[in-house]
Amino acid sequence: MKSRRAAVFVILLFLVLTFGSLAVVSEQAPGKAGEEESPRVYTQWETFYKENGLPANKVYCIAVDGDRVWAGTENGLGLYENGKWTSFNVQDGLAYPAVLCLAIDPETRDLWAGTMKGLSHYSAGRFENFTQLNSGLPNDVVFGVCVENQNIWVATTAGMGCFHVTENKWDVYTPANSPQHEPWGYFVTYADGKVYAALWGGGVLEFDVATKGWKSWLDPDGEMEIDVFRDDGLIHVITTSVSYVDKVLWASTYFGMSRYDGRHWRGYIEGDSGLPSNFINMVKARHNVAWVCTDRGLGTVNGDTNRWVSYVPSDPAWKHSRTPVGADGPLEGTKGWEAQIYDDSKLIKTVKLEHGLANNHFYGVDFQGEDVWVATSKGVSHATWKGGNTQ
Amino acid sequence: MLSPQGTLSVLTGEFFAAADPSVSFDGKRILFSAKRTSQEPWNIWETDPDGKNKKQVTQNFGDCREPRYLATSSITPPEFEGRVRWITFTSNAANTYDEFGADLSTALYARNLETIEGRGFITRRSTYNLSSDFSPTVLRDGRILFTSRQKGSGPRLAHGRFLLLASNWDGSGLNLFCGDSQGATLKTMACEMPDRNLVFVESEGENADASGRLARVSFRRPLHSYQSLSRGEGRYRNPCPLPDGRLLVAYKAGRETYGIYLFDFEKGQPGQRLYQDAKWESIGAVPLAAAPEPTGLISSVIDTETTADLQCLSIYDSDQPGASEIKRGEVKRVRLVEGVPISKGTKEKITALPPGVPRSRSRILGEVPVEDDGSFFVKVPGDTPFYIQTLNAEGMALMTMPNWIWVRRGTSRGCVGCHENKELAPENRVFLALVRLQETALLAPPEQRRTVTFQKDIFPLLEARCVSCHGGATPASRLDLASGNARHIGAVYSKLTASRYAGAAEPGEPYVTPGSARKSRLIQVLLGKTAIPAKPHPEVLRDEEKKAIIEWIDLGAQPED
Amino acid sequence: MTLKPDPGWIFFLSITAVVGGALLSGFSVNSAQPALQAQREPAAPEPQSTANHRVSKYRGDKRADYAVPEDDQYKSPIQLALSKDGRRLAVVCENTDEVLIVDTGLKKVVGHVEVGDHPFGVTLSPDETRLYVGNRRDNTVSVVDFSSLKVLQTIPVGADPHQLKTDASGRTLFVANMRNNNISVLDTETFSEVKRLSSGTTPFGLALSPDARTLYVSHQLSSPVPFRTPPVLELTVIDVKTKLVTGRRRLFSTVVGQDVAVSPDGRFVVVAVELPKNLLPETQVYQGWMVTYGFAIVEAGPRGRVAYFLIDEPNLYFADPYGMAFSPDGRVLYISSSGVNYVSVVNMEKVYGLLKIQDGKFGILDDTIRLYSRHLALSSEYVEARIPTGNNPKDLVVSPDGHWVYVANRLADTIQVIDARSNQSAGVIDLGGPKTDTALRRGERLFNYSTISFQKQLSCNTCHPEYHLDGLLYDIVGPGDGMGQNLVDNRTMRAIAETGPFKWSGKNPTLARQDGPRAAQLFFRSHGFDKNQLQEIVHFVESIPLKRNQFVNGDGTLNEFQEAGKLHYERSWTVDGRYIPVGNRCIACHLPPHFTDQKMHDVGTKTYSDVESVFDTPQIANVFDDGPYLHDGRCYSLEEIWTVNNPDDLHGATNDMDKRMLNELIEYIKTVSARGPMSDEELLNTLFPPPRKGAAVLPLEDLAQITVPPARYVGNKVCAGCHISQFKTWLGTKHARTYVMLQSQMAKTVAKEAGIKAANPQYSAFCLNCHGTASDVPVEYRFPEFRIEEGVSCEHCHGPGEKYASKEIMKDKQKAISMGLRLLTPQDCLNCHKPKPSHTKLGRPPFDFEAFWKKIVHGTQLDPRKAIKSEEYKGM
Repeated sequence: MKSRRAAVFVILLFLVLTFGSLAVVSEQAPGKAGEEESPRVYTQWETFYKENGLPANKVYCIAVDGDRVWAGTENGLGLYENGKWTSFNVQDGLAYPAVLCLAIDPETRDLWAGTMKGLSHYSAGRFENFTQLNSGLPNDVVFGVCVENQNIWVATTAGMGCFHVTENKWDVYTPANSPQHEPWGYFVTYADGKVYAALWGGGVLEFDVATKGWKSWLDPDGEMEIDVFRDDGLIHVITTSVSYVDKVLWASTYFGMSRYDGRHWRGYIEGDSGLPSNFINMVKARHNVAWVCTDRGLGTVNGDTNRWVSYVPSDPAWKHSRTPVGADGPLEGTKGWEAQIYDDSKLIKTVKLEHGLANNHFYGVDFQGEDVWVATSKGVSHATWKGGNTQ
Repeated sequence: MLSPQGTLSVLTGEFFAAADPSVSFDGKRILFSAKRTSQEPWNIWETDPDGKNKKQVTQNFGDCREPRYLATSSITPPEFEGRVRWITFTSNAANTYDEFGADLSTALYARNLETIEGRGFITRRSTYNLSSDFSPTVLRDGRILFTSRQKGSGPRLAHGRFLLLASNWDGSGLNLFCGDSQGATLKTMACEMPDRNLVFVESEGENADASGRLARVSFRRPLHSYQSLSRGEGRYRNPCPLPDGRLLVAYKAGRETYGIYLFDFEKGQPGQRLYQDAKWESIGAVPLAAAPEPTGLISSVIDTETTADLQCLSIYDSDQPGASEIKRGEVKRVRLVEGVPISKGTKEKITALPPGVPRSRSRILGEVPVEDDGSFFVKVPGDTPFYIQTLNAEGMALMTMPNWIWVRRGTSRGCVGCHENKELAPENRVFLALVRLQETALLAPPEQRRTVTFQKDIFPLLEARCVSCHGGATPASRLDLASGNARHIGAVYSKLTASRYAGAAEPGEPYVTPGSARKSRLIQVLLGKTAIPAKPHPEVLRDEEKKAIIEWIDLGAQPED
Repeated sequence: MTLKPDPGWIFFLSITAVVGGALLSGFSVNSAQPALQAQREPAAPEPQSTANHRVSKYRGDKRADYAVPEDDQYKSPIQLALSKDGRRLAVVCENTDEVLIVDTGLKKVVGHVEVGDHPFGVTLSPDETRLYVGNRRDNTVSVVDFSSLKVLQTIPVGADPHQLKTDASGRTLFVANMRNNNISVLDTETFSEVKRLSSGTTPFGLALSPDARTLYVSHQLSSPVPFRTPPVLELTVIDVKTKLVTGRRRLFSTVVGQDVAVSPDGRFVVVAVELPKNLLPETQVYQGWMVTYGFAIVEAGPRGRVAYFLIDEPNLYFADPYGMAFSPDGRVLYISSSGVNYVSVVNMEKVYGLLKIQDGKFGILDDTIRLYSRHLALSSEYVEARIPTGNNPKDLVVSPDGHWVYVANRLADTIQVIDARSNQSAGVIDLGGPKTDTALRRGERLFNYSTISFQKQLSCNTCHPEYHLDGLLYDIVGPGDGMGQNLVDNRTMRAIAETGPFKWSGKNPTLARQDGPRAAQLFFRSHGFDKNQLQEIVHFVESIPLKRNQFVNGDGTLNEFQEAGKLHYERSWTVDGRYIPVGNRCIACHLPPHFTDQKMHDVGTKTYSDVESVFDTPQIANVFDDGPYLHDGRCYSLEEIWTVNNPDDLHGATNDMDKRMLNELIEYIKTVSARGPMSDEELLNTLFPPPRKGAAVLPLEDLAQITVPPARYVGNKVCAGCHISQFKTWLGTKHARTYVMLQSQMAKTVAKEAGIKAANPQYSAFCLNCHGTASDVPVEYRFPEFRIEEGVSCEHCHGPGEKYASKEIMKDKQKAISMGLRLLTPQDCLNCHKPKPSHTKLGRPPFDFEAFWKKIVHGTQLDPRKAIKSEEYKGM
């Protein structure tokens, strides 16, 4: 840990000298007095609903491609470009209206969209669809997709698949030929030469691309209801997503979140942290800050300092209700939201938001430089960072 | 034969008459037609260039004329070995009248010069036009191109129209090569030039020997490249190219006899004169030289078959006048009308016909449903001349094909459209008639095919249903269908077809417009479409009776069978 | 030609090294190079082995039987590149694996450089220091120093690289990987692949816009389209700076796209295309009924409109357009027609006039565009000259001053020089190569010339580009094959030498029949080839090789998925423990050497438009390259064959597989390529693995009565041990699939009508009396190796083998007979082949002994009619 801090400090120094401001990399900074807090508090939110051009209000996933943003909804694919949303649906070639996951190939800028009925490959206006009938796709219900070099990985309800795009070749992995304890995959991501998958009831799976070796993490206590020993490992086997950034693994479950730095596990659950809810759909880290999409709010936590900033509706009724807020219409002017700042489990500050978020049931998050885009069960929210909190 | 040195030798001295020489592609044999006495019919003969080794090719086959060598081809499956030399020629052997008078019509035939193993010598009829097909020439691509006299329709074509048609050597794949839309009416004696032009003789038929002016079309656009070649008064015959591209013609100016000239394309006049005889007409010169062998074709005609398949991609694909007015989906069916040739000797009452109504018997082969995309698919009797009418929902002709076509037995014929622009290739799409794969078969034996005639069907109908009002002292709306003491069919017939109807705006607009029930006042009245002269009478006739009248008119409103 | 090893394998190794390295763990290509060099040394071949490298076995052809030394010496120039000063012309020679440098001033060859196997595309770096050449069979690009003519580098790329182009700086090289359907983007300084961009199907040509900002990619074959709809070629638009695909244009109802060119003013892109008529019944050739040719003209950029113009005439066709080049001033477009040996000169001002161009856009209606695309006579408006060339003109280039056009006369080994000012030929430049024509060479010309057809409309090459296929379905019309019936998918010409019978209907026993009268009567509508020509073209076709299979590892090994798939391919048990009769296993019908048993089988794929239910078993070597699939091409992917079109498990037992297994099977099938035949032993061991412990026995129902046979049933393996040829014959007959056919829906209906109680006819002892063997004997009378499911197997007719099967006894026929060997008599047939009312709806012909006997007669030519008097079997 020491050495790392040192490194960070050097970077900071360097940045101070060059830019004189830390805003640009603020999330890397430990929350020291006088310096900007991490996680930072985003106060400038704009929201998009169907009436703003979204294909549909229920948005399962969101992916940033440079200055473009893709949103996968229950009824079509939305593309946000030059301040405008355009929609794509089956008549345009999309495999199926309900889009569950998105991945962008950084090299080709092609979009890969997992739907309830097949995998769509969108490239310069052309949709190419892969189904369990016409390709090696393990199953039509594609919950997770990611790009690994020139290969596309999918997590489906009946196993994982790796599509070698350039060779038009599929590798299919099921419990029969890999250490999957469950075939039902929820999420898949690629980082540092490894593919990570979150399996429903199967914990977290790691595939080393170079060695083709598998590694599997399960909940050591094997308890389904409660986490017996804190920090003994993965908090629960019903994992929903995984994120690997700066050598730190984040895993979200329906029963809390886990963090693994390669040596130690740490568990986060509602109550003893700023986590808005244990029911987590997705976690995605940017440097040392993880963004946590729960069914009752959006949490952000600095993995080093365990400082939280959670975005939740102020009204406790909303905060605690499991039914998504404003399900019967846009949250009135998205008012009544606040950012709650926790130090570990202690609420230390609350910041009222002038413009709140679209909805408090969060499905997905992605980053656009300093900006953040989140997908909710009713609309999309976009937070802009203009170098500093406005409090 | 005229040698380069100018010496002349007669090759057919032993004949009463000889004509139509044609040189084989290797330049070693000559075909010609000849008769030994004035009485005997013309036959086809073959000889060496020096007149030796004469061989009679045809026998007891009517008057055989205009022989031409064809490419070697074989006709015996499965291996189609035994490729032999064929010739084409014209003959009136069918012994039937053409549609325009008492002459026998001529058709094209094919015959093999070498025997085919197991089948010997075969003479096959290639064309099945009711009127005459004649003046064949063999194109480099292996097809025969010939002049075809067709029924046509409308007063201007009272004597029919003459088309240059091309078909495969066996008569399959019949298609228009160059019509009468450009140049003179009659185009004949065509020949293919090395520069891929087609040179022919054109006239309005003023000269009995069909001689006239020279003109040409290009193979690149036969339908739109007409060019008149000859200027001045003289008459031309039998153009024939030399291998180097120069053109041999027979030419006569005024009273003198025909001489053989080289045509001068620059001046548009006969150039160097090669030969002329003061007493004899010198015509039909051909160079004694080898020429490239045309493309052969394995015939798909199956002699033992009696039927053939016809498929049309879209009847809306047409450049016939009026086609553009027909709306998509308006055509519900097509009617196939068979032309029955009239054999020589059969007693025929010849009455004066309205202009444009050729003299031939028609039988209805039947009707075929047309798909929404305009396609249809039908099995027809092979080797049978017929034309097609597109019908609207009421079963009345929207368009009538102006010429006879046929499909050779055992073959499959596809049409891009109905009289479509021949410069257009078909669209590449699936056609409903083929997707459904429901082929209508019109294969009733001849005796069961419908005929509708004035005598047999229409006149009795008028008698029974109309005369009660349209007769007597004060015939309704002054239409007296019972004129004269004896009810004379001819009189009634001309009442309907010739005289103007009561209250007609146009003088001479008759009740019946032959060939188009749709335009006929009589039908409009009977269907209750118009109130002239008095009240419409939709209820007077039963449906099948109306249908009979409609068919009678659509088929040309012929006076008698 | 100079000696060199078969580079195929070697370069392939380097590919795995580099792809693995560069992409996965960041090795630099250069680190892989030494390995490459090391590989080359030991591989240096013996002189005589050189000729063999072109006819080596893996290609599955018979070239070795026909080729003479000259056949390896023809140059076959295909693609060209011209230096900016117009002096140095680089000529790629497919057949001799070299690039020749022609001095256009001296009009002679002044240099040459040896490159990889079967070079194709060529391009010059902007500074003209380097020449890049794509090697199709090595899947590499050779980097050649343009002055020293030395190969500097060999860069691995995708499968079957075709044309290539650099950007304006020369830093980036784009390569069209034809059989990967993508574009390799290479860094020309590190020689590494930066990325792959997905293209359409089979990318072919590349053209750079004059401002060098946009790259256009033409394609040879259609993108997937719905069944029985016109093909669509993609024109991919790539932004050179960002190296991203920005547009995908669609050229409707076109196929076999070849060269692509951009007008010098950058406003329009043209692609040489074929406008096929494959959806029409093939009743005639006249009036462009079979196929027409021309070019698509496209408004430049990622979006815009497309128009089509024909270069044909009403009575003459200019088959197989290939090369395309604009004059520098853009006034004319030159198009080479490789099927008729002509270059057409298209006046573009006339074309623009017809398009009513207004500021770079077409000013006409879509209907007019549709009309133009069908118009055969319009060419007389804009084709201002037709210039005759040497044999099979391919690529063409125009000199910078616009005065000269150079055309690669592929089958004449010459460069045609055309004086562009007079539109006259200015002679040819000889490239060397044999001056005599070998039989194979003549055959190849015949394959490429449309002069064989009526009005020169089509050549063999028209529908079989690259000696392969055009991916289209056709409605062939002939005797007994009416319009709209028996739609058939086109099939490849590669490695078909020993795969007769031909056609999906199996009608043509030999290639001579197929390419002779059939082709002449039904396709060419001419008299076709004469006897000598026929032999030449047949020999040529039989010499067409299979391409190397890119799915097999370089060292010929399989990956773990493929290995697993091989087991499924040969398996004899379903996942749920049912026995798979030999006659329903992949390996039984698709077996080496060509992965076809060359027999006709009913695999349940008949549709309403098919007359027959049996189809020729296609050879599936390199099947990944042969799509679309099934006799009517209804499947665009191999998966659909089993996921959609095998409901009753009649096309192999696959419905018990999960996606992983099916995928493994398919990944294995993609790897099968022509190989040596299986030895009898290998075959027997594959078909008869040791019986399973506790293997499931067929749960028999409605068993009427048990009959105790004179001996026990031993099973096919015992008989096949000695009578292997008889066994193989039997395997190709319906007798081997009688049990399998009980899976069909039809069988269930029939069973219901026959009043069968068993829900599944396969369990009905009654049905199995005829559809199986020994279903009515006590269990202990069936050896464990014996399976009822094998259908009408050996012992069904010849009696239980236990007593007579041994060698000693079989040696003495009378003895064998006394021990129970039955010789077939028509009575045996009649036991089952009696009229069955329940079976009438199958529409089978009545039993005719003569005809049926021919279908099954095996091995010993014993004529059973000797056993009985003739009248007894009359009318059976």
